[in-house]
Amino acid sequence: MNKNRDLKLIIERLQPHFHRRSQVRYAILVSNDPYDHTYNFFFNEYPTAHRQRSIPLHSVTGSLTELEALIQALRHSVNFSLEFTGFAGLRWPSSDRLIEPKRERAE
Amino acid sequence: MYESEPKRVIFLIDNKSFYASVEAVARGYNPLKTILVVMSEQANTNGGLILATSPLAKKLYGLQANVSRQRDLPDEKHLLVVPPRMNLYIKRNLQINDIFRRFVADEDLWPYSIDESILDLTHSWRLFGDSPLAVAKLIQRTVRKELGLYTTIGIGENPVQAKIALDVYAKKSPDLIGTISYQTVPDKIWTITNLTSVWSIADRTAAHLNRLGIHTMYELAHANPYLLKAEMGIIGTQLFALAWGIDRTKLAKRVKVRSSSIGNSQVLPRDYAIQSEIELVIKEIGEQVAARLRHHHKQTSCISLGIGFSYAASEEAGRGGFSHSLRIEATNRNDELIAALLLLFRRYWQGEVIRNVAVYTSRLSADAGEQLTLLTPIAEQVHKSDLARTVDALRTKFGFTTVVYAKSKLRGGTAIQRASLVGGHNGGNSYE
Repeated sequence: MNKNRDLKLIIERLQPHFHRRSQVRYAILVSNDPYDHTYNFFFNEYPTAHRQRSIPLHSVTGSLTELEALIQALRHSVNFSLEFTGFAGLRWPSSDRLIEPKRERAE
Repeated sequence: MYESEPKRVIFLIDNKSFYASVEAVARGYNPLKTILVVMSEQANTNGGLILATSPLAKKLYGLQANVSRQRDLPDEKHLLVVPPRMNLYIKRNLQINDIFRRFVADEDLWPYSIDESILDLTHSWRLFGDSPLAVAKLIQRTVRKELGLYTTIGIGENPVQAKIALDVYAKKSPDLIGTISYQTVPDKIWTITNLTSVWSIADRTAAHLNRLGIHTMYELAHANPYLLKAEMGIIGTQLFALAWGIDRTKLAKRVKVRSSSIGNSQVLPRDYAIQSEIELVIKEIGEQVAARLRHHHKQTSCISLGIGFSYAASEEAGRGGFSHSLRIEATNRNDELIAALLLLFRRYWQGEVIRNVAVYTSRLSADAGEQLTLLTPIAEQVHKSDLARTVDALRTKFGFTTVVYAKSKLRGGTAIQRASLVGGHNGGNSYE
């Protein structure tokens, strides 16, 4: 993981998909992929009455500590809410808070 | 009666809603519980093509398993639409086949398509379980554990039984496994009443069979094989064998390709009517085919050009397009191939609006040397050949778009946009 480079890529790639449309909720999905041993980033769009979209942004490998640093940097750069999947039971190393409080949506 | 037929243990393994499942897993969702479609939104897909649908989306919206259009898709907020990543699916397919290789020797594994493989476990199944069924379950568990994907398995004593077991039974069974053997052919194959659900029978063949009074697999099995052959040719005999669950293919024996060919085709993003624009695309595809010939160290001595008219133009012209070939001196040089293509195009095109271009080369020979002509200075000929090879080398090393012809920037050119596609859809390679 290279925090600055990864952050730059994620932001660069989500920009063309963010159109500030009304009635649409935007979020960044971070999934813990136990098969590829990567953390995958997606830009998700949830319109209130239309189909959802999910655009792949980036994949990174590394420790949870590194991921936490990247997530903190991401939260500083953009205001999108973050969603987490595949982290059930895992906690952020610095705060010991659950990463994924409860299993969310889509299923 | 089946004594002399080959009795093997063949598995046909298919990935359940492959692309959709890969995308669900990448997002941390269960592939069977996610409502997801993979949609390609390239310029030439007319609003979007659905490449894959998750099992739940199929069930909820009654979507077809195969390609359908964006307009057939409900605009519903629980449905998740994602773009395709063809390179990722190729990578997963290779990983899955690597898992299969733990169960069979290399020569007993045949990747059949991006999401299907044929395994001959005759010699190896006893190493892994008490019965072929137990081994099938073990393979399913292994793929699920290591890649998160669900697999569907058809088991048969030959490939066609395995294929029918997969298509007709496994996909609907709760354990995603179906089995057909010679003993169960009457129960499992003859009872099939929907002919098109059987591998190798599509609408036209089914209609042909219907005209012969055959509407079920039972009727096909009890038809007169000589009549079938007289009516449908060798395919008639093959269908008859299929109805009896007979398939004498020896998978380990590789089929020798008598004459291979190399070619490319594309559907254009819009109708093309202007000669210069059409010729630009023909040149681009011609160059792509020439580069592939050089890459395979081949020369061609027969080139074909296929042109498909737009819907309106084919109604008007009374034909869908044309396809013609030309014998040429063996070559893989851009300029010579393009000259031949343009000759064909100008000879047969009568101003129709077009939507489809295909270029194919056949009668391939080894690229052993170049036939110089007497009419052009040798230095010039060698220079042209060197130039093409240098461009090829640059593109192999740094990617196709490192060097492109200025003409590809003209209106109508598609080469630059297509460079990132795999099989006509987003490769997704820039994201890896």
